[in-house]
Amino acid sequence: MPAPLTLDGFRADLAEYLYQRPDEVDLDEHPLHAGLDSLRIVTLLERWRETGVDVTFVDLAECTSFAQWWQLLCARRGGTT
Amino acid sequence: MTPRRPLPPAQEGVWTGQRLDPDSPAYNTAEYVHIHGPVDAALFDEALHLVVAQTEALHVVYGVDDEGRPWEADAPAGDWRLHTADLTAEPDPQAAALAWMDEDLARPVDLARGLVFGHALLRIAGEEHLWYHRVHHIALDGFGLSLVARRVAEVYTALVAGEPVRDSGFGTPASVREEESAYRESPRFAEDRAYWTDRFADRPPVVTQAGRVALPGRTFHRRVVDLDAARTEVLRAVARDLKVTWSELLLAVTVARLHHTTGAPEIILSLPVMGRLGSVSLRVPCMVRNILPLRVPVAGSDSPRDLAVRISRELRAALPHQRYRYEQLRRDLGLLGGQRRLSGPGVNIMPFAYDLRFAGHRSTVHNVSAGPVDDLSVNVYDRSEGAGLRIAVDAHPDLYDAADLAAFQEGLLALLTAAVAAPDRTLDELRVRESVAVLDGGPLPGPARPVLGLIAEHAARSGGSVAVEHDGRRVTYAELLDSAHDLARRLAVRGVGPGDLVAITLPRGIDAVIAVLGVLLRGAAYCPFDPAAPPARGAGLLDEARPALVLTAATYADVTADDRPGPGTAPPAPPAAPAPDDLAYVLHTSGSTGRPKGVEVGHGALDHFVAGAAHRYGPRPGDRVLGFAPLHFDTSVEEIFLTLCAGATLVVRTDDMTDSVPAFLDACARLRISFLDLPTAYWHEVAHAVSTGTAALPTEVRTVVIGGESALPERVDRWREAVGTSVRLFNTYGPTEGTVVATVADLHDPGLAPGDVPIGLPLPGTAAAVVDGELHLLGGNLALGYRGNRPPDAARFAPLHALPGAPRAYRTGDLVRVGDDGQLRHLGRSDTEFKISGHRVHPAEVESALLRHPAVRDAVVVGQVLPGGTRRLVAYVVPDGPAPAAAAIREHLRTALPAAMVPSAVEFLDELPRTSSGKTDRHALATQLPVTRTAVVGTLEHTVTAVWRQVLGAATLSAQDDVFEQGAQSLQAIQAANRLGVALGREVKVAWLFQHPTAAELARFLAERARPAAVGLPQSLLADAVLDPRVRPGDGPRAGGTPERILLTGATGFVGVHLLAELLTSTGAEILCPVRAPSPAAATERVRQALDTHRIGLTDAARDRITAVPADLDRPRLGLSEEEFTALARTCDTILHNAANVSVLREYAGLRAANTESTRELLRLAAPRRIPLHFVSTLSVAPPLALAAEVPEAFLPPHPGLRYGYQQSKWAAEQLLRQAAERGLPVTVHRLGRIVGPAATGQVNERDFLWNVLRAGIPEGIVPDLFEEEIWTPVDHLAEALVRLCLGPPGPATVFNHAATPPVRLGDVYDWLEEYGYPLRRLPLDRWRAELQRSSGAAATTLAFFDARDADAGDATGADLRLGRVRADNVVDALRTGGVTCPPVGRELVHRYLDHCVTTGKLPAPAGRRSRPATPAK
Repeated sequence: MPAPLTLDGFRADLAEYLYQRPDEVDLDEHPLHAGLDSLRIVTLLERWRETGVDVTFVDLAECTSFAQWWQLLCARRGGTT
Repeated sequence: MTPRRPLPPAQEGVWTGQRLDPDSPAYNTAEYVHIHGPVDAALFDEALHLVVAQTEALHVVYGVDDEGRPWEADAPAGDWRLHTADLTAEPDPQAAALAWMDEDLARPVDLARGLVFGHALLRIAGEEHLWYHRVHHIALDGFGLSLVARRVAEVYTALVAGEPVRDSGFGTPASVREEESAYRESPRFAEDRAYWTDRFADRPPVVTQAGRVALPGRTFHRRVVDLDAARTEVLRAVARDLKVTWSELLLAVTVARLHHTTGAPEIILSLPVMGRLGSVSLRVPCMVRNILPLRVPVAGSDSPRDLAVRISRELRAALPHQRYRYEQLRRDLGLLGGQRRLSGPGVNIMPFAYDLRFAGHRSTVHNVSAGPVDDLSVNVYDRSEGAGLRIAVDAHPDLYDAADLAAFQEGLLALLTAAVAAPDRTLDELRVRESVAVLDGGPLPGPARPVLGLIAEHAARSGGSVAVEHDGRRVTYAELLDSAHDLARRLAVRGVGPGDLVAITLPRGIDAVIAVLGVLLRGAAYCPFDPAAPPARGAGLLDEARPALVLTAATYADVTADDRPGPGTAPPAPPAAPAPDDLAYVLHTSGSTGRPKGVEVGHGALDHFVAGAAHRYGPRPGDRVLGFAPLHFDTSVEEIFLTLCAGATLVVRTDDMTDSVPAFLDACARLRISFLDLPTAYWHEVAHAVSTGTAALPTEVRTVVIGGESALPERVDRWREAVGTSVRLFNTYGPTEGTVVATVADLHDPGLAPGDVPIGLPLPGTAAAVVDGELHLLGGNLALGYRGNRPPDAARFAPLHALPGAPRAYRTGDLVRVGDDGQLRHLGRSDTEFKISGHRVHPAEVESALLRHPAVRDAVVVGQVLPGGTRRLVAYVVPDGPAPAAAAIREHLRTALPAAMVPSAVEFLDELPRTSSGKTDRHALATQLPVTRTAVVGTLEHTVTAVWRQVLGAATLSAQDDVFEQGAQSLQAIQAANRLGVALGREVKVAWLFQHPTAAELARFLAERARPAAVGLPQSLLADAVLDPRVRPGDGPRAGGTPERILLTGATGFVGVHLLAELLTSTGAEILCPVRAPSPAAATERVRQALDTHRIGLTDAARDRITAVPADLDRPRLGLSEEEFTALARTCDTILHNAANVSVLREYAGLRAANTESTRELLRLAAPRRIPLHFVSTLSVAPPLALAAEVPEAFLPPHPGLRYGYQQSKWAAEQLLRQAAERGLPVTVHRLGRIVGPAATGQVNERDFLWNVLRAGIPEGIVPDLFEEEIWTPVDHLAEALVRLCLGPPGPATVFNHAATPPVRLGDVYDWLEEYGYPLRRLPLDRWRAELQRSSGAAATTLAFFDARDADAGDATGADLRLGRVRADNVVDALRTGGVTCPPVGRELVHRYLDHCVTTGKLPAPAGRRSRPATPAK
């Protein structure tokens, strides 16, 4: 299993899909308004699940900010914390 | 049922689509889940019922209120059952299951009654099950379906395990509606709108492979392919490498494929988007899906990488705005209705693999239908468990056939493979070479020989045979060649040498042929000009052509009469034989850049053409070929050289030969023409005349060659029916650039299907290629190029790289198709070029001439093909200031352009219509055919306009306004359709309103639609139209000489009584009048009354010659006793059969006795002594304009326009006369239009329908729009003409259309009434009927007539009964010879009628105008 997800890793993943630098990612932004589509969310989701996070597409998709994603990902980090 | 609520926007879009075609099942979406394992059907059923009960969106009904506004309301779906079936006994259980699904899917759903879904559990093997789930798209979208499926798996699994069922976690549709309402109030909504309206502000053209739109189809074609895991992984890897998603790479490949098939510089895709991110709807099974229009500019120099990155960027910009409804955007942009659209093919990416487990058993999901397919749709499903992608390509069945779809899909997959393998190669490089169809005309029988040599051979071998004839003059081959050599010498003396150009403006004739040959013999080239061309154009062309000499009729005479020896002593040496590339002639055709262009044809091409054409269809020695074309048409090259190189005789026509088709064919017969070369437009006339019997093809004609424009299939069919297939009919096609003729088809081939008009195969020795649908010509026939420097045109001659060796080709601009038989069919032009009367017209050339007129600001010229097949040019002009007279514009054009290029109509517009991209909308103008107003259509149009005005609240909307441009929305279209349906009492489909976006178009469509499609004549009618074979001319003495006893039927009617008076005054004969009466005295009294009623004064002596006979024309033997009948047959000399029952409302059965059977009886009476029988018929037996462009003076075959009993009975009677005429009986038929009162007295025909309408309407100041125009004949003139024609010496004509005067326009009649002093409002018929008081007798009668017509279903449909042009040559000719002229039918005559009516109190005197004394009778 890959290393557990860190906030920097989370930022870096988002940045890759948003075509930004990690420090440019605005965690308060709405994923929809950032230009993400469901396929990208599914792809990110698969990547994060591989780190041991138990989230579903619907869980992520109904959040209204990246900060909520991070909260959710932290809360669902299965048993490692 | 809960209270009704307005439909949410997403549902409204689907609902509107469904309303366009209420019986369509297209909105049924379905999928099936293949469960790999045992299924407990009872528990599955329980699970389904539970889930359905929890899915609120499935418990909604939809309706529409009185205003046409849709609503929805919650209502339990009620009882429903799971369909279960065990298909394991079927030979192919899977196929049986899919067939069952297809059948289920084809059932339309009634949204008003609920139950929008269905479920089935089909067992296809021991432990394999298919769970099929269908639902109307208004309730669930793809994501909604997946929520339901997941929930069913969860509940079923719990039930099987005996565990409690967990809460569904479903949210409510109400929360989704609230969220949507909040969104629409939010700033976000405004921002989204701004984004989209800005992105699409230029309303970009949507280019698709089909090139048109169609209403949603009920079904679709589908092709499915699965990409295996390995291929899918390559795709994903390349996408990662390009830093895009695999879906974006697939979009890029789709765009690339569409660019390859359409060449469009921008592709606009339709992307279904989930619309649920960050929304409560993520947990609500419902329908919120939206469509996102995606603009992708694309060029051949782009690589898949470029495209994918561009798409990714565009998507990132667009996705944040994905909630803004697609339908709303279309409304914002005014892209509803007609051919307008916002986006093209769809790409639907479903990244969600269902990974469902049913009680632990694996399953796979398969889509069956994704809803309606507007154009093409690429659906991509990510299959579960790493199985790779499934690509299902759907196509609208009206736009693409299965082969189109297969080609598109295969091309897409091939391109996908290529793009993934080399994402940085350009699209041009990746283009999978389409195979180019090459058609070969086969070899020449031998090498092409120089034309001059061939002609010289004939002169040497048979110099005495006639080469050319014209107007009584003829020259032999020897004389022709001598003259040509003589001219060549004289030209040399004038300094003309090889390589020079000599302009020829000689009219058709022998001199023109000598001139052509003489110039060529000198080694020079000729350039023919239209001697009748406007001087300005001629001068311009001459400047450009730079001829060494111009041979006009005058200079030609001068040159040939000049006996001066040349400036040297010896005659100049004859030039060497021309080389293939030496110029032979230059011909001008219309140019796309606004200037005519000169096509340079070399000797090689000329020789090659003559060799190929002579072999394929050319004349033989002994043929007499008509020289039809003037020199400046390249058909003259065919006529002159094919004929002279074959040793045949060219018979050049005289100018007056084409005055009429019968005269033309007569002249051909006289000139013993055996080979006819005709422009297609003229041949259309010939074919028509020959098919109707108006003229006959001379028996010596064995070959007819046509060309110049597309032959009308209808005319070809007519010709084949009338002429048969023994006369060779060659359809030729060819631009001047390919030397006269490029392809030829045998239209006399008996194997050709009706309606099929191929242009055939290339000439021997040449070839043609079809590249992307466009015809390219190849081979030795190609012209050298264009004269002068003409870069854009010159590019049409270019190497064709698609073929090995890249041979030189000419790109014709003609779109063609290769049929199954390998022959070409012409489909149209790829540019705006239009053919009219054999001229190629580039509208640009006419437009540039128009723009030189000072009062013209902007102009567009388009070619139109009218419903009857007539081609015409129309100029749409935006005037600079007040509009000048159309005649002035045309006059201006006549000074600059040849006659054929002067538009026949000039219409003024405030501005030119533009396409969404701002270009002039030529298509809109080309399809804007002249408004054919008729009573019924006029009324209908008014009704439609009124409804649209009401619905749109636009009081000023005109019938020509595009309602969608005026802001109409789908809902309003539905409202309008509802109201129209009520107003018209018939079904009006919403779809029709979208297809016909102006009131005028819709009204025409509705009128058209109501017309019955096929000839549905009563069987009894056809049986009655057969004349007993025993009715034949007798052998005994025949009636003849000056008639002494004339039988006149119908003598007491309006026409009859005037005929009676005319017969009595112009002959000394006894007039026998059969009259329905109990006794001779009563009969006599009835005739006397009729004469009195019509104020016909006769001398007593004249009256004494009337013998009234009691009779009944409805009965056998006219109700006479056997002796009376025989006596009549023995003694009478002439019969005028004028009696008829004219009850227009009666069925045929009620009229046949009086109108048809009486004619049969009279023929029986007339036959033994061959008594001339003249039959008074009606123009209404003719087919309406929609079926025939003209009404010939000939007997008419049965046609669908024979709808009323009266017409049918008269037509059947005419058929009896036709057979009588064919058997040699002396009969004539006289067809009448509206017969109005005698011009001499101004009395009116009080029983006339129109008169009754006027008499009812004038006192109330209102008149109805009834018809555009019709033929009027004053009864006194008619009687004189008819009696003259019947009693004069018999001529060749049998049928006479009494329509020698121009038609009278109803609008003019109303003008004249107003000028007389009656203030009038002109109303559509229905309003006139509504406003007219039923008080007066005339009003009551007239209204009753219309009421009765309404009751007759046949007419309530509003068919257009207008006639085409009524031919009246027979009448005109006969009356001219007889010195009879018709008094003018116009204002004065109408005023005379009014004077009479006022004097006799039939009409009130107009206010402010004292009643005048009646105009004295002549």
